[in-house]
Amino acid sequence: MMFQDAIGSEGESPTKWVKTCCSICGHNQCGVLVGIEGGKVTGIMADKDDPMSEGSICPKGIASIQILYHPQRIKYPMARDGERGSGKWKRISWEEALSTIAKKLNDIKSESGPEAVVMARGTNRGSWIRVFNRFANAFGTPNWTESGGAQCFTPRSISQNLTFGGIALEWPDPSKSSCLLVWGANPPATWPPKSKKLMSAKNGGAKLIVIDPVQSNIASKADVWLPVRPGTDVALALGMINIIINEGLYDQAYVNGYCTGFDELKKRASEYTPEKVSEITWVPKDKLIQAARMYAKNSPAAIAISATFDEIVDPIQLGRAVSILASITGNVDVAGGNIFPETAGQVFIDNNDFILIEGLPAEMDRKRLGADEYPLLSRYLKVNFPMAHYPTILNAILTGKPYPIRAMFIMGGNPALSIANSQMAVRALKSVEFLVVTDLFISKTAELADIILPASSWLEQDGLADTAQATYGHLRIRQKVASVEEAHSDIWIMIELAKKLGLPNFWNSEEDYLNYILSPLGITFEQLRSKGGVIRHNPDIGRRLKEGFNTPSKKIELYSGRLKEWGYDPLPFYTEPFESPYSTPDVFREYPLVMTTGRRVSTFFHTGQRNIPTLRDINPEPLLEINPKTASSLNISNEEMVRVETPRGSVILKAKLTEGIDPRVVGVPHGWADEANDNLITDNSKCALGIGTTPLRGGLCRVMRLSN
Amino acid sequence: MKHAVVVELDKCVGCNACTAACKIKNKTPKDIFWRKIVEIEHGEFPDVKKTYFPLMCMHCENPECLKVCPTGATYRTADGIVLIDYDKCLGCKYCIVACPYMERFFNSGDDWSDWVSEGLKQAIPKGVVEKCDLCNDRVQDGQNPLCVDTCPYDALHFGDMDDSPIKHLIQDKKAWTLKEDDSYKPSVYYIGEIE
Repeated sequence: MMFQDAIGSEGESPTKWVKTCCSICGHNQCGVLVGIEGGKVTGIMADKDDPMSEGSICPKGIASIQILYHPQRIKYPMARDGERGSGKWKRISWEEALSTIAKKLNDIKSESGPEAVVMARGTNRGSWIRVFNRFANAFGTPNWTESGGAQCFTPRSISQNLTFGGIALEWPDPSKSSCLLVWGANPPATWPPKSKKLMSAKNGGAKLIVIDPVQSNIASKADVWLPVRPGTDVALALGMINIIINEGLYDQAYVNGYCTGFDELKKRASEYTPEKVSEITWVPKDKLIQAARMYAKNSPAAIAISATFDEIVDPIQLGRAVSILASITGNVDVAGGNIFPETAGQVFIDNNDFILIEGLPAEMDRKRLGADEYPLLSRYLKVNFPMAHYPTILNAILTGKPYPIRAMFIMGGNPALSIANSQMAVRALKSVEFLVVTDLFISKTAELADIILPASSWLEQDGLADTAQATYGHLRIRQKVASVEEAHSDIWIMIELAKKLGLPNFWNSEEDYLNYILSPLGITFEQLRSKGGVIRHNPDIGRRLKEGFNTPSKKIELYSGRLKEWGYDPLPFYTEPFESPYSTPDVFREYPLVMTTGRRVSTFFHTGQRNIPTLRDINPEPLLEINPKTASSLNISNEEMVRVETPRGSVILKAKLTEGIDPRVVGVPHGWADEANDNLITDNSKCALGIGTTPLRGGLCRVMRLSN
Repeated sequence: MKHAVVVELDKCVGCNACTAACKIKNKTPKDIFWRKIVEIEHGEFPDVKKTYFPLMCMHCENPECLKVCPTGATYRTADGIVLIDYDKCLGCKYCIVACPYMERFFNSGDDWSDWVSEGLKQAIPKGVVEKCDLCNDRVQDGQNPLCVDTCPYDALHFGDMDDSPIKHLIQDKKAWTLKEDDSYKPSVYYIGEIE
């Protein structure tokens, strides 16, 4: 389909379809066609010709039309007109908003230093992570962070980079796979393009193994489903490695040619016998053995993972162990296995160059909150955007230690709901001296702001779908098809605020920014638009096998010399969750169920979209997944309201009885507000070794009927 | 000519893209779904098998709803689509009782007015019974129903029973219908086991 002028004229008919890329979840970036009639968006459909998403779409993308025309959209900048959180706002101009913010931030910078300003991001509405990071570095603060942060992507990136110098587990190559191993991910709800590739391979005859405490959408299609006890995945991975080595099912030639440290690994893995692993993980021994053999014997095999890899008690070890599992079976950098993302968009300009990492003075880098305690998050391996540790930031706001935090600029984030320990997060948001939030709607976080800036949705932006995570190499453009009052893209907001702040090295306009990204190609955004807006890219499979991996030894490091040098165990090892039937038996007596928080459905991305009619109608209520036997013993019937309590607090949910969960485990959904907010019952007091993750899988709880 | 829909249960992962597309196109009010996906579980943990089962108007050859309609509002087109003439519907709900598949819904007039802006309000007048029209507008235009075109997993198929690939799909894959032993003769076929 050819590109056309984006906005149709009033009264025009029939429907004109514009090709663009969705960004409702910020990372899938599915290619879509937007129908326009009489100047209004009337429909959104998958673009079956898109080289990346191949016809994938989700309910959120389809329902984005209701985001565009939602009456609750923030339409212009607003300043609070009463106490913080009073809900009273007055409209201000962009000029006043940006000038006020710039003056306040520059005042704080000169009085208390730039580190007193925290820049925190959430949802990537478009592709602006790097821009926001550059903004922070240009301003001079080391305290840039993400609601995801140590909870999403960073741990699994660090662990994979340590092992094979890239992030191959992010990219299964299912079309040529004989076996698919989906671990802690439910792509039909969260990753449609990946899901489509996996399901096509499954329907073409590939075996499917799914590891998830709950029988998820994808688990329902599995040949083998391993309902692992939440948070014990590292033991499961080491158990599979042990079986594969013991039974001689590993790829000896691949190990000899491309890996180092196999003997040390073999010794470590031998500690994880099938009996011991079954006891730890609650996965029956025969199923564990069946899964290990199935994965090892059906080559090539591809692994698909997601945020569970970053939300357990020790995510670095899980990323390491599963990277090793893929490596010893010869499935890394081979067609049909796991391959390395080389994205047409982001390979052009090195991330660290883009974010001007050298521009941040060394003394500021040293002041980064949480970096001393969690150096894997930002200090040792600068392959991601170095970031401050969110719980440490909250603590600094509340205690003034190690130094005061006076302002927070939150872009696309909703930490009042999205990070562990909401009680603490809300206290911090209320007490920080100056809070600016950009969003489409007045979120629980925006409610507490001094100034709210109206952000735009993906339908209102020109841009590039260029995030490395999910593009499978193809670069595509996003086209603006509509506008809402005075809302602007997050990138526009940063560019204009940078001008007011007098920041060096920013752009004059969004178009300048887009042309900068495309400059290594010698093409402008408008030229790319006129040429169809798609740059296809074939991943360079097998290059590392020929040229060496991006590690000190140029090999896949089963034994990590770097981890040893930094004072950590060079081999993966299992850690029992901080709170569990075995680590805290006293707590277990009072709270006898194991809990996994963070369950997702296809209609919502994180804390968003509960106010979108169609999406809320499909999933109207927050559901607690609970086994009928457990429910029966607690006198709870299906669809009854229940209270879930932990030592931290309680939430109120509706019981969904399902045989797809262990009677000893319950599944708590994420992203709901008020009494259903799962982060009222999560813990951020103890974080993962070196990386600072707050564990969200495997705590303890008790469940009771709400009414008697 | 007789239109039919075929659902491949093994391919449906319950993502609800079809549900959302249907609700947006038809502007159905809260709690009214012209199509939906239900979860069916068999067995006990850990030997449990979950099936995502899409449901919609079955567009029966012998529709019970049509028989009981006192005003002739419900009718069946020559190519096998069961439709409702909303101008003739009195909202008596006889058809809701008669439909063996519970795929007819009374529009009580609750809409999205407190949720969404003017252009997105429901399209069907209040006080009538509504249901899936198999995207008759699209079908007359030579297109598939929107749910079929939306499904990212190719779990849904649409075509002419007399002359199209789905005729062979139904025969080769031993497709079945709900309440097969009754005389309704639904036009929605399923492929795959649910146990």
